Formats: sequence, C-alpha cells, structure tokens
Amino acid sequence: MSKKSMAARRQMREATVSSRAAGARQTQRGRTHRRNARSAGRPWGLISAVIGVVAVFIVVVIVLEGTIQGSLKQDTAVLPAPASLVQSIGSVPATSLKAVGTGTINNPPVNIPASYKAVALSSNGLPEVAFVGGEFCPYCALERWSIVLGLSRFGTWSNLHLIRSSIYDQPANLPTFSFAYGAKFTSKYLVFVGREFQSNVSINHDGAPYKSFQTLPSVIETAFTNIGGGAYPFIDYAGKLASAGSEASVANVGALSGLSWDQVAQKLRDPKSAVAKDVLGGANYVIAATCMVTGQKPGSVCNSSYIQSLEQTLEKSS
Amino acid sequence: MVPQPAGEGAAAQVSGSEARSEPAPWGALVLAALAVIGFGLAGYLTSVHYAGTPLVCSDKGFVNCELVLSSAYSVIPGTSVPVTVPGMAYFLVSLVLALAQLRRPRNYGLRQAHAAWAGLGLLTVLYLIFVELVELRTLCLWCTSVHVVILLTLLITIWRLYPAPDTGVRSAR
Repeated sequence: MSKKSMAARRQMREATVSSRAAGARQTQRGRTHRRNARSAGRPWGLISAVIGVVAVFIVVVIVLEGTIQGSLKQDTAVLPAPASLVQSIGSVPATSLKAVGTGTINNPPVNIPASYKAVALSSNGLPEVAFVGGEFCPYCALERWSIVLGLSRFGTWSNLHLIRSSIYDQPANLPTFSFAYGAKFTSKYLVFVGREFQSNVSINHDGAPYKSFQTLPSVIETAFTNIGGGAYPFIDYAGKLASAGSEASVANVGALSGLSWDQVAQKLRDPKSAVAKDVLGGANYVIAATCMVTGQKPGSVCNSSYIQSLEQTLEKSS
Repeated sequence: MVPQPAGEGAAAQVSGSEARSEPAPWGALVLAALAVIGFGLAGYLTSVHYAGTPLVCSDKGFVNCELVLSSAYSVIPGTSVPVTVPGMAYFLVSLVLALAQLRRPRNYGLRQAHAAWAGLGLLTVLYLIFVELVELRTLCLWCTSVHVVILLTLLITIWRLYPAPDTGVRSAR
C-alpha cells in the first residue's frame, strides 16, 4: 500500500472516530438538554398559583362569611306593604292556581279529630280562621304568602306590613308579611285572626330565643297548644281543620331565598316557578279549607272544580 | 462528505403550530373522562329539578343540597331554567375540545382554547362557592363535585399547554 493511500485511510479512520465521538457527545447533550427542558417546560408555577388562588379564595370567603354573619344585623325593618304589591298578589289568575294544584305542599290542613274537642272558632256569626306564627320563622314566612293570596279570594287585606324572617334560621332572611301592626282582613264570609307570638328579634343575637310579641286569645292559645302542639305556623279553620308546621319541605321554603317582595310577586305569575308551586299550592289548600267552613261561599271561588277536588281530599284527611 | 451516525442525535426541522412536541394522549383522555363525569353530574342535578329524581344528599345542617338546589340562585336570573342546564352545555363543549385534541394532538390552538374554556368555568365556580358559603350558608356536595371536576380540568389543560419542547438536534451539513 502506498504512503498516500495509507495516509488517506488513516485520515478516514480518524474522521470516523471523531464524528462518532461528536455524535455521541451530541446525543448525550441532547438527552441532558431534553431532560432539563422537560422539567423546565412544565408550568409548575402556574399550576401552583391556580391551586393557591382557589385555596386562598375559599379561606377568604369562609372568613368573610363568618365576619358578615357575625356582624350582620337582623333586618327588623317593618315597612307598609305597598298597595300595588298586595293587589298584585290578589290578582294572580285562577288559571295559575289551577295549573299549580297542590304544588309542593306536603303538609296540608287535616280534619281535627273529634277527640280534641276543638272549639268552633267564630266571631260575629262568621267562621273564624286563626293563624299563629313567629316573625322569625322561615316556614311562617312562606305560609303567610299563601294565606294572603288564598284569603284575598274571600275579602280584602289592608295595613299589611313587610318584614324579613330570621337571619339565624335556615332558610334565612326570607321576605314576608307580618299579621301584626294592625293588619286587617275584611270579608263578609269569615273573620281572620292573625297573631305573631314571637318577633324576629333574637334576644342573644344568635338565633332562638326570640322576643315575645303578641299575646294569643285564650281559645286560640288552647288550640295552638293542644291541636298544633305549639308548632309554627299553626292555622285553625274554625275548629274543623288545622295545619301545624311547615306546609312544604325546607328546601322548597328556600325558594324565597334572596328575593325581594316584588320578585316573589312576579314569580307567582309563573306556575312553573318554584315560588309559585310553593305559594299557590299552599293558597289552594287555604282556599279549599276556608270554603269548607264558609259553607262554600263565595260560589265563584268554592265551586271551581279543582277546589272541589281538593275539598274532597281534605274531607277524607285526618 | 463525512458520514453521519444515525440515531437520536438526528432530527428533522418542523414549523408552525406543530413546533411543540406532541403531548401524551392520556391527558386528552382524562379531559374527556372529566367532561363526561361533569356532564353526568349536571345531568343528574337537572333531572332532580325537572323530574323530581330523588336527591341523594343530606337535607339538614350545613350540607344541604336541596336547599341550595331550590334557592333563587339555582336558576338563571330572570328565568326558571336551572344553572345545571348551561352546565351540561359547558361539559359538552369541554368533551368536544378533548376529543378534538385526541384527533389532532399537535394542534396547540385546541389546547389553548380548552384551557381558556376551563378558566371561564373556574370563574363561575368561584362565584357559586361565594353564593353557597356567604349567601346561603350551606354547601351542596353534588355541586362541589362539579366544581372539583372543573378545577381538575383547568389544571390538566394548563399542564398540557407546556409539553417538553422539541430539542431535536439539526443534522450537520
């Protein structure tokens, strides 16, 4: 082999070794670079930031909730109910009432057993419907809407006042009415007696007990205690039927949460709304039970098919 | 010309939105699974609202699903449509985005879109948590499950925004 060809072969060998070494170094660098790039390219900071923000938000909200609720004062305002509001409630069409039917009511009035020897409440020759509640009570808050609407079919309301239920009971702070402060119901078919046994003012600013408010006529107090077991809200339909306790489940009562009185009145006009199903359902039972003690008067209200159907249900109840 | 060794050192040039390397497909599969779970949860709560399906949850004390789901905040303001209906639509879009990423794993724009969608979902979640804790002072476990699904979706979409960059070495010429 000539010197030239040996030199060329040596050069080729060296070049091959050199390029192999370079390739190996590049491969090693590439592996290291990719490893570093892989860990460096992950958004650990951003992910941690998102988790941190959510955690901090929840903590802040919890602290805020405690602070707000701790310093939150019960809304003890008592405002005259605007005539337009009362008129709006009273003018909910019968078609809506019929569409709702019994709605979400799971605790309707029942016949008072004879064993209770209930007094047939009456006043000036007219049957008397009595309500006993507490202004703090969220279930009473819903029931009053049903009573105002239902009895508006039998007469006229005046001097109603707006209040809110307790912030310490759940559901909290519900918009409702008070039957105190001179509220009046005028009708030629019945007499309504509404009594708020306790107010919405918490004595210790943390829930029960609440301040006593109105006294009860003795016959109503006896009925409230013996028939209703002292449960709010209590309604006595002239000693024939009675209801005690919430007319709907707690969840359904919560449909009033976060609403103003006008918003509630607006929702009454939508039979599919949760509010309508609660209030109109309760109002239908109020209407049916009242018809049973007024001798089916007025006929325009009591003779409707869905009220007659409800009355038949109530007749069989106990 | 010097012969070049084959192997990992050699790489081809790529360009455009496919410049980043393809992320592992498991991420998109997890996102799709989360979307299906979220859709199912929202669907169940919707059926509770309309069909009266029994709600398996506490109805007393601090955890009270019924109270939360029947409050005024459970429907779109001004309507009687439960918020779970747009929730179902949200998860449907999330599912479509996840499936699109399975089909086009190199499309970075899809990953960005999904991250943005998940971010929007988280903002809604934060508002709903505020309503539960401050306004209603009650917690709904089913709602919290949906919130967790949205948070996980966001975290995974962020993760997938940054796969390991392509560090291929150009061949020497």
